[in-house]
Amino acid sequence: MTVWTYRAIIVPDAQVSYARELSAAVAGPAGDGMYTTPLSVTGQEPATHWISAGLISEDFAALLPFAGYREFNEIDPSSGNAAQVAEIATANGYPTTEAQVQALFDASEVTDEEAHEAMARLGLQMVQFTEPANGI
Amino acid sequence: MIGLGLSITQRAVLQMLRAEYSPAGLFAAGEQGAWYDPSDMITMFQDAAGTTPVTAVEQPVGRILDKSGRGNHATQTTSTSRPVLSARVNLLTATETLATQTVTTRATTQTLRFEGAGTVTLSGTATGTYSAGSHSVSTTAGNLTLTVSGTVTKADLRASNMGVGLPAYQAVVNSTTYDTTGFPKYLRFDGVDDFLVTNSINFTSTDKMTVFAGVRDLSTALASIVELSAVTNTLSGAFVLYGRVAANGDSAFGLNTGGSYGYRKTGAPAAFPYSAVISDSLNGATGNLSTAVQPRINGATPSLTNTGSVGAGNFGNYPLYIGRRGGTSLPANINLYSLIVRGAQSSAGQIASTESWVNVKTGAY
Repeated sequence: MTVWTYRAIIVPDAQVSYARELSAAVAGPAGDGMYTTPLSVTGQEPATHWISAGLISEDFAALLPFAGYREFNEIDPSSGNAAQVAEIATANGYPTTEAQVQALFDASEVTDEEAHEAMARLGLQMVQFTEPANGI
Repeated sequence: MIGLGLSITQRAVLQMLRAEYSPAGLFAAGEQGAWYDPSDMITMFQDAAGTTPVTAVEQPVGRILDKSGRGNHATQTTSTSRPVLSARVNLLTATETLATQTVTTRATTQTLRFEGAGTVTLSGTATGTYSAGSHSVSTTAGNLTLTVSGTVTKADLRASNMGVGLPAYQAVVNSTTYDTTGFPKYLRFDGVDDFLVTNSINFTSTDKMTVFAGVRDLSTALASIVELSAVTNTLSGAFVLYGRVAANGDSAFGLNTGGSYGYRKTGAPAAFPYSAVISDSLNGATGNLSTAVQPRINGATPSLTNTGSVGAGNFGNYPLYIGRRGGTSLPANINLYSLIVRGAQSSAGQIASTESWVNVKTGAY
């Protein structure tokens, strides 16, 4: 039985393609399609970051870094396990290195804060919808 | 024993044959459509493939079965994009004997209720010191700290308009363990990346549609609650039900028939967040926006303003997106209590009965 845990994961735009491919390689279909919500400081394009927020398996969460930001958090902060992530991804046909994974971890924010709280703390907001010419 | 071994459709028909009203009757003549009922836990699975059933609240919903009998099940493969089944209304935890804690609040009027000889002092998004009883508290958006002094028991903090007819106290142990008896179940969409989607549903043989939704809209951001097609603005034979349109509207109802797009928009809600039973009767044959789009909110026709125009034509063969436009934009921060999409015109009696049924699930009015 899968045990779920909540995470908000924010990755920089420069590494979003890698983050998407890596998540799919490590978590399979459940990790495919992540980081599709663009963020920026102004709420206007271009996106500087991308976010995924929701329940992930505890097994997946255990591999990721964790900021442990919430005041009453019972989970210790973690720097993640870049070596194991690289090993799993490579075994699943997506060759990558511990250094590449660690660079992504270092540039990302992984927290159990509610997504909008995390965005606000980082000074980010969701990129606003561009209204089509014929209205909403 | 009678319920064992029956399919979801058979159980829905059985319910219809009993005296109580069931939306199953909306599909009894083979009408195309879909009916999603989060109160019926047997219809939900944690994964998109449908291998792991949802067995408790606060589990993700990767697949919800269509109870219409048409097989238009809605799924979400990506783990973080799955909505979560919930029945939570009380923002607090460890509520039987409350300890000092911090919770996240929205800008709205809350009701704080508790028993015991102690006091609760609020700081952050609201201030004040309260003793036992029921208190109306206005909060802003952010973190609210409740500092407990003495013994405080059976504590409950919820939006004052959270629902009609709900028990006054919801016992909460922690974020996943709480009392669900008497509290409507809903799918919680996070307004970031959650959505469900069906395979394409072939509505090409009809120019009529009726949509029913029981919703609590939690965000002031423009959102797509349910949409037939990836984007109604540009795809003919499509519709969309928006939540919270800009600062001065609470709902809008878009339609694209005959290659032309228009929408009708309501005014602002009396309070926000708000719960609503929404019905939308669509008629692609008229070619006139005012007669082609006829919505009701909580059983009444709202005042509406029109933008754009529609042509005449049938609906299309598109996926149904729930909670996010095309799975890419306009994410909805909503609680979804019920959703019914029927590819047919519904009578006044069917609309009223279905709105009442959805309201039982929603507690909107």
